[in-house]
Amino acid sequence: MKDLDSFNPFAVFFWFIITAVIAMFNLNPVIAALSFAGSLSLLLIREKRRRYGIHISALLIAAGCCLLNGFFSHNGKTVLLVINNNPITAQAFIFGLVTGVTAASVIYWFSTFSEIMTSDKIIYTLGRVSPKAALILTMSLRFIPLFIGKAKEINNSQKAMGIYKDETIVSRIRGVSRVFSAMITYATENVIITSDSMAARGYGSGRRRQYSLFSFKPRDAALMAVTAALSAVSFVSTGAGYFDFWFYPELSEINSGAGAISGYICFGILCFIPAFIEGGDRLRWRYLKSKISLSHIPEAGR
Amino acid sequence: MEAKRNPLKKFLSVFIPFFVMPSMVITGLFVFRARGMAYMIAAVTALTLIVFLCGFEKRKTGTRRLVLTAVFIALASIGRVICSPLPGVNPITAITVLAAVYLGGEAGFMIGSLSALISNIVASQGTWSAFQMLAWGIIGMVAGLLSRFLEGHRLRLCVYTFTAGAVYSLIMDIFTVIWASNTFSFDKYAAAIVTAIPFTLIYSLSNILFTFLLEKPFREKLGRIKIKYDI
Amino acid sequence: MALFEVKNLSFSYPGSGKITDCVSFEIEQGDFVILCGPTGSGKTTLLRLLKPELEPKGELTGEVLYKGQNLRELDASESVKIGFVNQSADHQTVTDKVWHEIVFGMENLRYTQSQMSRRLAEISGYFGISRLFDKNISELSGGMKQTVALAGVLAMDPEVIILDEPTSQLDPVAAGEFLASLKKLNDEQGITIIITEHRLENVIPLGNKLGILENGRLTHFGAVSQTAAQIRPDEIMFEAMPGSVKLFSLAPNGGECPLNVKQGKRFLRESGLDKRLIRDTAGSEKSKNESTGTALKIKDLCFRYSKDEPDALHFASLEVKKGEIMCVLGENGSGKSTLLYAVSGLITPYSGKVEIFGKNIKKYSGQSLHDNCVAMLPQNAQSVFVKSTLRDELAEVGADFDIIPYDLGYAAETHPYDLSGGEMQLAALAKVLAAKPRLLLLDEPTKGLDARAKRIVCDVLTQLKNRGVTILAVTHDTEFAAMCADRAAMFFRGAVIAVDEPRGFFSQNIFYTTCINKIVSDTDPRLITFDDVKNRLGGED
Repeated sequence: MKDLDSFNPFAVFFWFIITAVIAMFNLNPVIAALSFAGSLSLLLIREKRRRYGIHISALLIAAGCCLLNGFFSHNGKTVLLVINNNPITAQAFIFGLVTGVTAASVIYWFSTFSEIMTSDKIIYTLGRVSPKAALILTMSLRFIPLFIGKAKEINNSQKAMGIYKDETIVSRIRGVSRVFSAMITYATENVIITSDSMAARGYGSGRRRQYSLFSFKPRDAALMAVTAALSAVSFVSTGAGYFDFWFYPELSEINSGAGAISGYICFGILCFIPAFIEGGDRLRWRYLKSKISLSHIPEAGR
Repeated sequence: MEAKRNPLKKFLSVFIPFFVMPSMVITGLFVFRARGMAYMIAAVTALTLIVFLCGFEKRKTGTRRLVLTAVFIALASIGRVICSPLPGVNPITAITVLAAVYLGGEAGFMIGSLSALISNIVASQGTWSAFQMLAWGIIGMVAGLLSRFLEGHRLRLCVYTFTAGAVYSLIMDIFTVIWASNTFSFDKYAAAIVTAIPFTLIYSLSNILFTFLLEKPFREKLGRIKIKYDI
Repeated sequence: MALFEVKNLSFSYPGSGKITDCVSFEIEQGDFVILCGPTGSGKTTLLRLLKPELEPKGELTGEVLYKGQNLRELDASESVKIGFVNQSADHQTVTDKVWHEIVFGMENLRYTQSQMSRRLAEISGYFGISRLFDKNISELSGGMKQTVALAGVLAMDPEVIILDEPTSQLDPVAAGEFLASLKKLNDEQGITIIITEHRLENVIPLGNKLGILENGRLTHFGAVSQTAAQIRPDEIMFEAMPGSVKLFSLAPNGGECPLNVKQGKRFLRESGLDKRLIRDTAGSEKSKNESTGTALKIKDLCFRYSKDEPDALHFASLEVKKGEIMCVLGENGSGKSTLLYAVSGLITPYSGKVEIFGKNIKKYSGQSLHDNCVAMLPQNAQSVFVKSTLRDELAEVGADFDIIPYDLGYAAETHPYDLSGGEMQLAALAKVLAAKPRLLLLDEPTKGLDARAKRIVCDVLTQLKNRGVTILAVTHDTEFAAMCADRAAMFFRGAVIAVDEPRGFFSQNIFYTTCINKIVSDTDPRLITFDDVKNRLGGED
């Protein structure tokens, strides 16, 4: 299995942050287009069933940026029409469009990212920096469902005791605060049990060594190395101003020097790496599946 | 409780994150071109976060305090998710500040920053996660440092959370401006602040409300726990 | 050399009397030691004195030697060889995932990655929990959570595991499974077990040593059957003993004290007790509760929690008469608690009818259902309390200490969470009674209570009944139902399948009945409690 999910979270995190940062902080039509294409194709390859909601919100944001900037920014030379003495310009629309497409691509990136980075992986990645914070995080994630269940239970208990009235808004708000107050008591009073249980298992005897479910394999190193190399080129391009693009008063030319082109190519590859990984994986499985003879697997023959 | 640290180290541990890094940002604002600056702010935020987390790593935290920290992160995250239908309203600041006053600056930082991280698992993770983590973390840490001044004073706590909430909004507006227009200009910043006024106001007022409501239960319950379990 | 040597151990908390008083005993490697005693006898404190990290602060004299070495001198890697499990499955699990809980201790001890992986694989295999590996702990049942907690302790390769009432929050089936896995660890791995329990029926047959604590003193300690035989009926712990041990006290013949049902039956035959118990009493029992009207009538109730789940209540029907105690018995997840929720108005069934005091529940608008009418005591008494002392707690709802027929006044200034299980249950009951309910609903009222507390709860309920309160309780606890119910109902798959007065009810059950009844059922199935047996024998004099 070579799904993106099976890569080391740290490698995925590294790739992801770098790509998103480059995409977010460069306002350039080519970068925006590449980022959008890469993020959308990754999302489409990974999704199991169509999710319209995210496309709608991406569309809304893109359109929103485009219209807002178009109507409220009056920079730019090419005047399309004049409203209340305010010029509406083509450049402003294009600026809005590029911003909007970038924003939409960021939505797609983070959607996939949130899906890949499960709590286990966040804890693992955070643990590389601060094992203590990672431990606190895993404990909080344990407490959240516990407390939610408890809050429901307390709420039911208080209701079914029949002592409190909840007919007016004020009494209802008091009911909520009573439940919350009881929650704080419950949560803090039982802390001692948890900390005893930790102490009984040797917590506090020294530095911990984090167990990781995720091993660092050569392909993770490869992913990180490729990411580092490609992003280095992109950063140099940014620094050297190859990615600079002006919208006002007139749209500037897209830089087509060798440096800029290689920057674009590198960023493009960066954007499509995960889609390649995922897509290649799907293809391989389709091929393998046709080779697996069901008759050899007793349970699957049914 | 905690070992006395040497004064120089203590000075540096405050000086670097509070003076060196912000001045880097400000220098970046004027010296570097806009794009370089955006990268730099992101990098500085991430670095500061790492510096803080690593700093706490070396300190010894009592097991009970650690568990309490996790408890309040859970409560704050639940609170945020419950309040999410109301734009601008969330109890993270209030809970972070109140807990930090009793549990200290380190716990305050952890509660603020990790509640942001966890509640964003439900909301949405993004580059803003790092900014939020840092902002809420610092609010909690400062509350912890000011605990002598704040503990038990409902009014002062309300003023503190109100101010903290407003400052938080102002900082997040910087982020919004940089993200949306990719450069930082005071015009746009002013515009962003003006557009965000309703949210900032709701947010700050809700902070006061939460602080007002939660102050008493926190004082009673944490006070008791601190004595009973010797934290 | 003994594994544990406890010599003249006395301990007191600052400002209190002695919690343990001059306790001495020895535990050998491979022992399975059961420590019991009434609540407040110092069991928990004694257990914690055996585990260095958990040693309470206070004044200590005497010493505890672990393998000949003073317990306080053990370093971290040695002291984790003493594992500790307590009763709260929810709070002693520290992390969010099953795998993480198991490796947590190993992480603290800085095991290498490969050591951790290997141990994780072994433990998962041993308990058969590989399938749960990636699960969130919050999704597990109480019994599974306790098993995971045990697995987390086992991962550190302990020589001895100390367990403080590990099954008190579990249902009987899960408790049985958990205890069986302890027995297996003891037999197959040679791990020493030290356990405190109040449900002694399940655990006594498993152990080889039994210690009894009373007011901080170790009154008995030794091999299980000898020790059990020594307990006199006037001692506090007698009540908590398994039925077979109680029967033995009626005709101590100097032989082995029977510890389980099988041995109990043999003892009954060999001691000739069975002959003395046979008595023709048919017809002497008459129904005490002449019908005085109906308090609650449930008809064909159906409810499910979500669309895709099966019905939690499936055409459930039940009638409760005014002024009786009705116990609904059934396994976990059979929907018994759901029945109470429906009666207390917390959920709305999708079909069927609930009539309370002759009036349809839908006709009670808003608060009127609870005014002077229905109140429920929830399963977990902790969730009733919101204040910081018991006095405030009762004052808040306008109740005082006279409301229950039991004196709690001595605990007025105590924080509710600092009460013992039995006191907490009664305090919660006092609060619930503030609304002066005529129909009282109880959800597992004896969960986590020891025999004495159970007896007290039972007395209190009987007195409430005499004041005219109708009581509907759902419970797993057959002993409790046999002790205080006027009628008992069997609940299965969302419906009541049998209702009868307890004697008739339990005499027809084979599995779901009291321990005493199982032993004497061959002689006379209508004997369901130890008092029945005693009275029968008493009658012959």
